[in-house]
Amino acid sequence: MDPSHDSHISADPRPAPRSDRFPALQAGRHPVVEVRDLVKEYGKIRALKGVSLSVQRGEIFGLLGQNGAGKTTMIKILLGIARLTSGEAEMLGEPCGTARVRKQIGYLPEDHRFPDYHSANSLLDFYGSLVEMPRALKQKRIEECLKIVGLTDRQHYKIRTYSKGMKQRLGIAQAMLHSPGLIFLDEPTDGVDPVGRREIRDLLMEMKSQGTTIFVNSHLLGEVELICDRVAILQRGELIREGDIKSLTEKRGYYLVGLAPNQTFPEAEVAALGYEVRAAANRERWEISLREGQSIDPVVDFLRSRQLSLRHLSEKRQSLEDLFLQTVDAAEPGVDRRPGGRQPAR
Amino acid sequence: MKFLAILKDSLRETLDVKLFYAMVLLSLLVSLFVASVVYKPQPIDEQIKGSLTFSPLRPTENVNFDILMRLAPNPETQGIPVMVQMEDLQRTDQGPANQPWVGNYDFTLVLKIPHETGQRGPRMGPQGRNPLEGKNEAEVLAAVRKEITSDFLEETLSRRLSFLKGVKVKTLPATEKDQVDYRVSSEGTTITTAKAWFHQPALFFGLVDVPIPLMTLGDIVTFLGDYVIGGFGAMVTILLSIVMTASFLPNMLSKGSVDLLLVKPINRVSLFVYKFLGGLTFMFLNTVVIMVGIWLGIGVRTGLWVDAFLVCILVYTFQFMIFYSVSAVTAVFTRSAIVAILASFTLWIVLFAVGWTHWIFVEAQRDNTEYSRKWGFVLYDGVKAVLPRYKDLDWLTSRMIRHDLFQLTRSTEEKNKAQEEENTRRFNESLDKTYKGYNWTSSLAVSSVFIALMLGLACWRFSTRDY
Ligand SMILES: Nc1ncnc2c1ncn2[C@@H]1O[C@H](COP(=O)(O)OP(=O)(O)OP(=O)(O)O)[C@@H](O)[C@H]1O
Ligand SMILES: [Mg+2]
Repeated sequence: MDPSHDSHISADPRPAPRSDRFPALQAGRHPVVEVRDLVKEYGKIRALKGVSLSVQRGEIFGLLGQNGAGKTTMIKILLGIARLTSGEAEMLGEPCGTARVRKQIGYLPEDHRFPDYHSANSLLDFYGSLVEMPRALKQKRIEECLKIVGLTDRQHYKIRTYSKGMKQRLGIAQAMLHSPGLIFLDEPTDGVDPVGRREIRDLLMEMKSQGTTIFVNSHLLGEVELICDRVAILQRGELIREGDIKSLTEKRGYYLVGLAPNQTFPEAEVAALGYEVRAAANRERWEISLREGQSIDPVVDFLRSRQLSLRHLSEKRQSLEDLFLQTVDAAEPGVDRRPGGRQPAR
Repeated sequence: MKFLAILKDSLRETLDVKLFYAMVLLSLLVSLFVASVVYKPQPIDEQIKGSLTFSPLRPTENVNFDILMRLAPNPETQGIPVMVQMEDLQRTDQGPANQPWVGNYDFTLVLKIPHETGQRGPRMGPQGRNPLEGKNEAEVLAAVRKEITSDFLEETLSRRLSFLKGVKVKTLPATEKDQVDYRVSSEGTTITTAKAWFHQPALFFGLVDVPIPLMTLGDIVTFLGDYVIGGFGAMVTILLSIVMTASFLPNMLSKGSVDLLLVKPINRVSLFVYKFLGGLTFMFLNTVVIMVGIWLGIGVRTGLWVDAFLVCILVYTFQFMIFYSVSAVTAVFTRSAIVAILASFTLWIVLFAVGWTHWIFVEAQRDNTEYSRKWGFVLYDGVKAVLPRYKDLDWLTSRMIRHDLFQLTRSTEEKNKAQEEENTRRFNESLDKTYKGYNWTSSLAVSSVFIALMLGLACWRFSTRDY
């Protein structure tokens, strides 16, 4: 079973955000990013059609959507790389894109191409100078960041000798170099191997625990689900879903139950209690769906009364992928509407 | 701080493709070449011979244009290529031997009638025809003696051997039946310093003599500075620099790279300007290496420290800026290095053509009121006036180099003062006349406005564009 589809009842592994970086913004739930009715037109193409969203400080925010939905455009506008056509966008309490704001953010673009005449070390040195880091701090951070992304050994090689994943790691290193309070990552795990992806996820959690706000664009819903606090789904330039990841995925109540080895699950009896039961995972787990108003407790009591040992009990959630596919034009590979394709469930 | 970081980045970019090394190496080679040229003072007989026997019509023969022209109208001597020879040259004063320019000289000038045809003697008219055919040699000789008087020779030699002062010519009694002899004497020369004396340049530390007409050291260095360095060298440097710097901005602006810079807390105009200055610095450093090298090379060899060469560093960098600003604006609009190079080259060709044609057809005709009122003239003059003044700056640099060299080669001795003042006045007059239509202020101002417009346009586009 894919563990990402289960959320164990026991504990939320995520540490509570510790916030000390933006004292001015700490009072109340002041959003770090606030976007209202944002419209962006590239000539005739309307990339964003009136999007409103906000990101709270200290959270990891995921922006999802199909290819061409406008995710990158959104980030570019926030960073001042592209200009908005109409609407409002604020970051850290200022209009987006000002130099003062940009000093406090880190950014990993998609499809980045670092100037390949640099080495990892010299590139970070260059970028550090551009954000006006003092020399000593810069040296220290370069060392730290390269260590974190595992490029220390190759730091003096030219970037053109790096593999794709190494470049991506370097991208992450440069985004966090100056310890920004807010980081934008466009497809951060693109091209990174599974181990590396896990490392990046851990790294993001680590940064979050230090109070950094993180804004991620990604297609890898499994990953987003693992790390994000909140997500928003864009489709063709419109925001069609926004919310807490827990509440978005918690919707359907059904449980996964497993007994000790060699014990037989009393399928018929449980069904007789009025529950819907299905075998899963080679008849070692059983899915139990709750109807309106039902609770799982009677089932547990019943199994205990039969002297059966409960080895597994988890609330099965709807995966983010389920949600995503239901929400957007499912199974459509690109930006074009396929004739006869499903209409989005709004 | 940020500026230095971007400069360092540009430098890294150039060093990465070994361009900078290549350019510096090239510059050093050129400097070394210039420093390897040796200038040997010419003995005076070479100069007199050289000045006497040169005829633009018959450059390989020992004839003199003035004498031929003088003989041409007389049917007796018409078409006879009378040869000129110098014999028995003597220095008649007691001056120091290593200062030939202070001496008095005597020599015999021999006019010889050729009477051989074929390979050994000079010919005129159809191949192999004897110019004396059907003529009496004695009569011809008498005619020559009649036409080429001592007065005529005195006037001609004073002009041709203009460095000799107090030229006196005496016709000698006849000795041979085919020649007339004259005794020429001079008293001092107009040349007052070694630097104004005639020299023979020899390449590669004196190995290879350069075949040039008789020139003073000052003239040689002027030629070198004006044509070889200022004309050809500067052109090559500027064109090469255009190619080498053309990719800086497009690389920075390329997709995937530009985002990384745009999010840094530096405004786009500064980013652009810094990057532009980065390219300019590249060109500037190169020019410094090459011009200082040339300045040193010539200075060490000749003792002529031509400061104008150092001023050229700034002029060439400024000229380069004209093209680089076009390259930059093209880069911002197209993000393509190739298009940027093409645009700069196109401008270069236009400015080069307009500059030359204006110099030849307009500037030379400016005083001709009949011509200069024509609308074509006015229109052409107007178009040229608003274009950046690339070529004007070239002319002005020439003027500066010439002026500098003149000042460097003139005498500072008290006894030559009057002469030198007169020389200087005449020289300055001729410079003023030649370069009348050009001046630094307007050339720099108009070009600066052009550069500012280009950069302004580029900045505007760069700072309003979505990436
Ligand atoms: N510079 C541009 N000029 C014209 N159109 C653009 C430009 N940038 C983006 N677009 C258009 O805007 C729309 C949104 O693009 P965007 O890059 O934001 O999509 P995305 O959600 O990031 O997609 P992906 O998942 O493929 O990265 C697309 O239709 C795209 O073609
Ligand atoms: Mg994208």
